[in-house]
Amino acid sequence: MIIRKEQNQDKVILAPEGRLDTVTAPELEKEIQALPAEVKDLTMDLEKLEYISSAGLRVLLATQKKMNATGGEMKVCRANETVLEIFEVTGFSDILTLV
Amino acid sequence: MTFHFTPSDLINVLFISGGIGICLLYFLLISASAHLRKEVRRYFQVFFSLILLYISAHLARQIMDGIPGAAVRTWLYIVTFLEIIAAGFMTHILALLVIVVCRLERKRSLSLVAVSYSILMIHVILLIVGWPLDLIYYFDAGNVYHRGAGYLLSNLCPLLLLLFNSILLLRHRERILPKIRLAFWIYMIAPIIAIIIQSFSSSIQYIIFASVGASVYMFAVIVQNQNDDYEKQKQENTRLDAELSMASRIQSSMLPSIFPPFPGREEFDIFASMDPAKEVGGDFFDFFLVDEDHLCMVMADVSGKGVPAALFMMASKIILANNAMMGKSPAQILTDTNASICSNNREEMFVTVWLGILEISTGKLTAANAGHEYPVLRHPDGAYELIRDKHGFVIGGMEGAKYKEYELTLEKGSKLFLYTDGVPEATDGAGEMFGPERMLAALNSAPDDAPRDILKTVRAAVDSFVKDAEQFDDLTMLCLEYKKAKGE
Repeated sequence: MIIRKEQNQDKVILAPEGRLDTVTAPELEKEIQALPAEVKDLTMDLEKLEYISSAGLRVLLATQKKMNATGGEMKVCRANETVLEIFEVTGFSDILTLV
Repeated sequence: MTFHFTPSDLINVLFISGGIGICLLYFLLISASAHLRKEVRRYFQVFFSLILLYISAHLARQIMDGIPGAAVRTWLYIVTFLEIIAAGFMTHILALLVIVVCRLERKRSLSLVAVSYSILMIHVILLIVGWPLDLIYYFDAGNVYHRGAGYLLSNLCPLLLLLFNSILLLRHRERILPKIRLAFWIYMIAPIIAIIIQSFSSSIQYIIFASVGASVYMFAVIVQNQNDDYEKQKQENTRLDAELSMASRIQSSMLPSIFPPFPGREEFDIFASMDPAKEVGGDFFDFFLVDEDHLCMVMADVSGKGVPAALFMMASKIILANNAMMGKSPAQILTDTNASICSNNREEMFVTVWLGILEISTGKLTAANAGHEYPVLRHPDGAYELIRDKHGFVIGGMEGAKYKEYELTLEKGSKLFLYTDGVPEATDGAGEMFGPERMLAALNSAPDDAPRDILKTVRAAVDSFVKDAEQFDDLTMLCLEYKKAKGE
């Protein structure tokens, strides 16, 4: 999967494209694990994300928890209808910062 | 041109032509060896090409040696250059092969490779600079080969590389299998022994025999070793396959599988099925009587797939059922299950759960939803519709999550349909999803069918939608028909 990445000091934007499922979620997980610890402002730009499965949600959850623990912030933006609906159904919309 | 062969010439030609034949044969053999590691195969291809070059150049020099003529002279210089340069490359490739076989960490490997390259480059530069100076070798007016004043320099780099290889082999001996180590040593020592023998009877080229023989032996040992690895891997895979299919049977036997499950209970009819996308899956359903009047139903989906999901599914199913059997309310069951799962969840796995308890005597259904798909309900004479119920967060996601419950009333003939996301998110070859609308349409195409037939209808609709696309997610469904209140 293509993951676009923009880094500006401690601000990072990650934009996964296509489908985030069992096959592709480990790629995003690797990308996030590789981020330096001083990153305190992470934005997930989901504009080009078509679909997210539970494996993808797991990565978002793990990242959110990691950011909470280190005092950072994770924002999720520009998710499409399908993805928003999945956030809604799974209750993720309550724990993610959707902007 | 006539040749006058002495017996030792004959032996030399035999060695050389035999050597060329063997090298060619082995070159083909390497290319056809399926179980060789890719980089090992490449090294051997280069390696045997170099030996070929080395002995061909050697043969050419022997044949042309002493034949007068300017053209012959040029060729003599070229083939001698190639012969000596090939000897250097051969020891370099051996160093690379030893480094690969040692499987050292990347950084260390790279620095060792750099050392070997540097020594090789000195060798090449010496030869290029030495050519016009007749430093290493020269041919007299009658085109007869003579060693130059700096002949020993041409042996310097191969010897240095040989030393380098010996140090590598000694230092990392525990990383290389004894058999392979022995083959490396034979390969390095055999030419030296050959040179010593040759210094007593210089007319026979034992060196060619020694290099070809030792390379072939080394190759054979490495190939045999890799074949053994491959066989072991195959056995391991067979064992894993057997374990997986057993795990699959254990998993499916954990789910209710005998239908009708409660013979003699006329008040309701229930049917459910699970088709994992892989051998084992993360979806599950469950239903059981908490007491004579309460039927608990569970539909759940663990994040991810395969063995990790299956392990998590087993734990979730047992914890949910244990909590339910204590007579708790649906929201309490989910809250307590979440607390148990969160206390030991380093991998951040989670499970979405819809759990409902039906009071059989009245048709009152109390349910709670932890991030699971919307249930579908059909009242008698109505259509199947999604119930957009209140959602809590997935179980295992967040410590201290709270769940709310809600009530529905089933009338005589009401049907409840539960499913996992494998149904609406089944995807066709073009990437389009089945979707809840198609699912409702399939349900409404035969609304009066019995639960077993309803599941069949939905499954058929999914199959005809996805056609030949591979089933990507587990497909799990449950249908309950409420037939009559007690005593009716």
